[in-house]
Amino acid sequence: MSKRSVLTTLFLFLVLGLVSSPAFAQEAAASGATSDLVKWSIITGGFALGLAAGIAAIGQGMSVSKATEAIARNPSAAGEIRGVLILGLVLIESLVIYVLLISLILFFIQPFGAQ
Amino acid sequence: MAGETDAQLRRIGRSAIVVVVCATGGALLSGAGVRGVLGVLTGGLIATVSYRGIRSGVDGLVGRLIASNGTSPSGSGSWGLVKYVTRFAILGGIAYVMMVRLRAHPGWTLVGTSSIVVAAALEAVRSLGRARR
Repeated sequence: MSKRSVLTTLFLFLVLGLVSSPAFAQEAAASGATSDLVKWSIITGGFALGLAAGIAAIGQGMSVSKATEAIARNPSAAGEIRGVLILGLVLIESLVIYVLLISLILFFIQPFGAQ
Repeated sequence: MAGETDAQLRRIGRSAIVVVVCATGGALLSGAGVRGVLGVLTGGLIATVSYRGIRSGVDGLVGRLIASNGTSPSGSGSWGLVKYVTRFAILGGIAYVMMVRLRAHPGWTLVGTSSIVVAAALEAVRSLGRARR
């Protein structure tokens, strides 16, 4: 490719770039509001996940602590305590999984970013 | 949920499977298609992995507690605790792959995840009915 054709191609790209930016200006302004919505939904999802995981960790820690105390006091009741503990932990964890799924939807699928 | 010694947990596991099957039928009937069915199955898989992680963690903990001399009875207890700690990474990985890569329906995924909660609610209603009789 000669030097002249390279310069011509570069000039054409420059002209296209200058012409295209006013043509797409209105679309860019419209997508600005959408990108704000996406940004805030991602920030909210992150905070919600952190809050849910932290509070659920406190709840699970308390239930495990009480269960271990109860088993240490009365080892013969370990079977019943185990069942109740597993059920309680699963129910607490399901709440965190809901928030995890909603956060993943906000992060990757971005329902508010769809035009 | 196989191999469970606790009768109540066994019943809840069976009910959760029934709930997942019913939700899969609901997804098919509502016209959600393959994405809906995949979503329900993904939710059921997430609930199962979570349940098994918690169960192995609690078994490891209880096994250590009731061991006579305070030492770990076997290596499986430690492995259970590892599974308990890393379960959120596994759940996040499964949810990401199924929803983002394989395009499972997010709403039906939430329905599938609720299977254990619905099964626990059914068990509570059942035990209330038994207590009343």
